[in-house]
Amino acid sequence: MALPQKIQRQFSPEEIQFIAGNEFISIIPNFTLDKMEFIQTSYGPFMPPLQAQVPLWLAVALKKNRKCSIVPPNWFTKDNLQALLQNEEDHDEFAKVPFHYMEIAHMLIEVAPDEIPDIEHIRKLLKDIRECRQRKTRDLLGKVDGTRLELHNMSRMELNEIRPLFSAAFNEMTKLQFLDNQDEVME
Amino acid sequence: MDNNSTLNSSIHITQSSEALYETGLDDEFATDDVAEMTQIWINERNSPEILPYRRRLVEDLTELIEHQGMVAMEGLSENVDMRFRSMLYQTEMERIKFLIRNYLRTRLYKIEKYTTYLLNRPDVRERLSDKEYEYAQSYAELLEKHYSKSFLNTLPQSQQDVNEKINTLSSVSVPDEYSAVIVRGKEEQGMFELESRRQYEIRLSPESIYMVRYSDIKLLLEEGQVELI
Repeated sequence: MALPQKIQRQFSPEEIQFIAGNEFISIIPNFTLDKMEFIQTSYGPFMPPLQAQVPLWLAVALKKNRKCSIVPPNWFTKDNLQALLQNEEDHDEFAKVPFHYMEIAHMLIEVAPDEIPDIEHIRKLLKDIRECRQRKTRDLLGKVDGTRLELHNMSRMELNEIRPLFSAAFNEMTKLQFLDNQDEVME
Repeated sequence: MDNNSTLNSSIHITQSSEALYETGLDDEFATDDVAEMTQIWINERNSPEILPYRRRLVEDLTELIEHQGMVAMEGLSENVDMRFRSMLYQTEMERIKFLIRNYLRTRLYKIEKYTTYLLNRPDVRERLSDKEYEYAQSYAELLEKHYSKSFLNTLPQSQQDVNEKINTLSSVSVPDEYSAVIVRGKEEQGMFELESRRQYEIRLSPESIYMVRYSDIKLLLEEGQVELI
């Protein structure tokens, strides 16, 4: 089969992770190397202790080879995640988060646990934020009307997760509207 | 003189787009081939119908990969530094190969699903590459032979047509234009009225994400004003 069945209706989490690999992150290299010409663009020069901006996939490859330390992004601290959770709980709308926050968090915790202060606390905050947002998602399902549904501030991973259920509901509502229209014409 | 000025202006454009890229590192819409291919793949995965084949993009990237492959090979024989570089180049190449492969497979999936429809509609057929068109034709032949051998030949002559159509009832699968997609604007462009229901508007902006009917944003997608998520 050209496309495995499980990814016909939505991306797999691995594919979303792959897309997030293009996001930029700061690293501190522990090697010296001048500019590297990649296909997409060039990265470097790498001169410790200067920070360099590289895509996540490159940061992960370097980190796995113990060639750099990763600088967690600003939002990825105990205090800022705490503030985000507060904001999320205080409002009915989704709080603004980095579009790839779940994937980036996942990758950081996986490949660079040694560089994240308060990692257990951060894990807990991420879980709370996620659960709070999932509650809002459930409320959103009632608003599906087959015309237009606002999903502002939802992240790519979250959008992909709701895709199968929400599109099925949306498509059913669309069909109902067509039936309504036909009734009107017949009357 | 004229030639010179065109040359200069094209150089100027290259420089300014490079400059744009340097300053906008976290800009997801940077205009490079890899970023474009990524979005094209995402669009193809999410649109109900097959989109126009991006021949130039695929060819350019395939060439770049081949070239980079040679650079990476040369590096293997050299010192530790070069081997290290080669390893990183390989990692990027694998990523881009994955993109192209997945893009082509997604298209094959749609070709297999909507073979008859694609072959019967010249305007849709145009969106296929030559190889995809060949594939669609032989796939259709294969199916037809298989159906007729396995059961259609046991039916009366009048019921042997695979692509039967009676008034509005058709046995040909057609992509559902009204199916839901998730979309956002590429740039800030103000409000846009939905084709299906004029009283509804969506804001075209990278910050505004919606689930809408594919038919409502089909033209915007063609014009490159929105992207699917």
